[in-house]
Amino acid sequence: MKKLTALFLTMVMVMTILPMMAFAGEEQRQIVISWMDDRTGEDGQYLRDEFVIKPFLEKHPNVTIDWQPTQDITKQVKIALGAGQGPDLMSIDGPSDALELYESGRTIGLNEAVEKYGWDKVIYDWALDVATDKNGVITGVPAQYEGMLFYGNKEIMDAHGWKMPTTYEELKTLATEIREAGFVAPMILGTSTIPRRNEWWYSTLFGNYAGREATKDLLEGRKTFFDPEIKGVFTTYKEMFDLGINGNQDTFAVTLADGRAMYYSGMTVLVMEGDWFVDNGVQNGVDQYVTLPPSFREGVPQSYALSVGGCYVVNKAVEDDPEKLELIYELLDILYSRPDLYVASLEAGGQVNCIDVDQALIDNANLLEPVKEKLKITDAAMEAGNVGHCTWTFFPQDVRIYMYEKADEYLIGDLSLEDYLQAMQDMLDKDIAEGKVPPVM
Amino acid sequence: MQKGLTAQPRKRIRWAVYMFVIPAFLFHFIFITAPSLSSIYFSFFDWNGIGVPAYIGAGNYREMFADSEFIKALTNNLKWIGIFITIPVFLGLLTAYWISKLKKTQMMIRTIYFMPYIIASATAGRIWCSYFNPYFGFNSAFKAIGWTGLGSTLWLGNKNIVLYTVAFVDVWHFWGFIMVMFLGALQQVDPTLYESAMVEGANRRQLFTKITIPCIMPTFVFIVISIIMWSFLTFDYIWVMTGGGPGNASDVLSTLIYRNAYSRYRTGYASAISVIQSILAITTYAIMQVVKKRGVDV
Repeated sequence: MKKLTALFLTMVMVMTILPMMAFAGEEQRQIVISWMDDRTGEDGQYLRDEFVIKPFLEKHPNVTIDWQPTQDITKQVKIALGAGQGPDLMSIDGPSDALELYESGRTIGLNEAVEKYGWDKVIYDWALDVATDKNGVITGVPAQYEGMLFYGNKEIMDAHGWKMPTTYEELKTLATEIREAGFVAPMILGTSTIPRRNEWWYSTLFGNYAGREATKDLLEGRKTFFDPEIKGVFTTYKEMFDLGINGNQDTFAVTLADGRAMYYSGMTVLVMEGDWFVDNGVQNGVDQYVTLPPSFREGVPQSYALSVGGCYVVNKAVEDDPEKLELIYELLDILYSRPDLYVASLEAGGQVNCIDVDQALIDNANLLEPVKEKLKITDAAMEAGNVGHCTWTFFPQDVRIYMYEKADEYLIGDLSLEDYLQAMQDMLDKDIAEGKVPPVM
Repeated sequence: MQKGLTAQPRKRIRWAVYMFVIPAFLFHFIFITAPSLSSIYFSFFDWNGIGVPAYIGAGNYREMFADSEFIKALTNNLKWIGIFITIPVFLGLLTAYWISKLKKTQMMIRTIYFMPYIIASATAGRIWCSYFNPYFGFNSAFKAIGWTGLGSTLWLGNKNIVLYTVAFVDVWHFWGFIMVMFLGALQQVDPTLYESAMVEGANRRQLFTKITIPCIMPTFVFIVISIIMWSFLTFDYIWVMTGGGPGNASDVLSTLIYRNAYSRYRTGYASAISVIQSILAITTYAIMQVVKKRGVDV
């Protein structure tokens, strides 16, 4: 009898618990969101964990974020998506890649999420425009913005009484003085193995030689590469190369890391890099001047070549799982709807997002002095409208890749200026006709 | 009865052999043969690697043979072959010959010579990049001892010498391997042949040319043919040290394929170059087979 009672009670217990478990399982479906991210290293992991993933998981304990820090992310993403696989969420290099992935049918349009969560109210219009295709589809949500700046080693410059150049003439004079003072070069671009670095200078020259309007005219088909303002971008770059301002052919033999090391160690005095270099200076203990790159033509102001430094895109395969898709949007929403977390991430060394936040929050933030200084410069340039177009955001992909890949050949005389410009013009004409040029601010 | 006894086991053994071969064959087919065949297929398409491929017939091939970058890369591959079938082979053979005469120190010396071969090319390439830095590498040392000409040479920045600079580094990495191959072959030569020849009055040169060389000829041919195949496929040191630059001065077929596939996203065009590269390597293999049939056991 005892045995029967025990058996009966056990069965009742099992029958009571089982449906509860099933019910609980339904409520607490375990979801894994894979996120391939261009942030890498311990710093990247800390910033993502602390200011995005942890706040999200507090609200969604049933979700696991499979965070995959990845270098050279666009290539990895394209390989994975090309094979019909790939993570759910991806932080890729920029809007032109987002557009290509969307057009290839590998990612989804994000208009619904942008409207639903109100991201269009906080993301800068120009950034959202550039991530929108000709049919009005938002192909990627802009992440951070970045642009090109001029840096000078403060200690060396003060010791020699040098000032940061504001015009091309001043730069040429300074470069001569730097050489005469015994430094190996005014600056070394370091294009060995990375010809892409030529893009940094081209972006700067489009803003500070051609000017914003001329560049816009070029990209919208009202000017060509042969118009003097545009052609001058390339002839000026060649002149700088011939004068050795960038280290002449030496730059082909110096890697990015070695070029930076030469600047940190005082072998060179100037650097032209993106705003990320403020942090590099801080980390390497170099006190540096930060300014807008000089004006290269009379009447064209010093400007800040601007770009969207990254985009978030969502794998098309996630469309089949609406619950997961909604969770991905909620994860992204933390980046756009939590200014407190954004400012805290800036304080921890995070990048500047493409969002408009209350200036008082930034002013009162505990930022490093060089970071504050940089933000003051870039904000002033943006307010005054002195912004240029970074090629990697505003130029169609094939034009910009050709532009930087062939730069070395043009500089050493293996490719004539006429041929160089004509090839780019042919590509641009085709891209304009096919609607492949991103909207230009 | 006799026939029955021998025929049955032979059949069974054949099946057993297939059973052992099939896993390796499947692995090879899935991961090597099928992707290779797909490259041939995609070489007839305009494809960015992720979108829908558009059939263009032989368009990629027509473009390739009119493309100065392809011609340059192929020429560089041929120069690379020229360098590698001479310098490391000569160096490896000569060193192996002398090392084979050593008794106590042979192991130590051959280990030292072989060591560069086990260093990862990415690591070694980066280290050599620093050595060739115009400001703090070898050039500083050359200038310090008054060799200003060498001290101001742009080893990786001058389009006329960059290929040879990278080839030098790859030879440094590779020749120890060739030396060990030759050493192995030399140790297989029957010592009684030398003894007999010496009794007949042969000198050192005759011993080398009449006995050593013929005896190691199969290894020699194998090495040369392999080097030609590897040279068509070379990639690592060039990519790590120059990326094919400056301009495309040090481009070879592999770097051109990589750049088209992953920088320009022209997977169809990259596939077409891959097909031509494979044809060159397979032709070399076929030549090896012909040589083999003509009497040199490779």
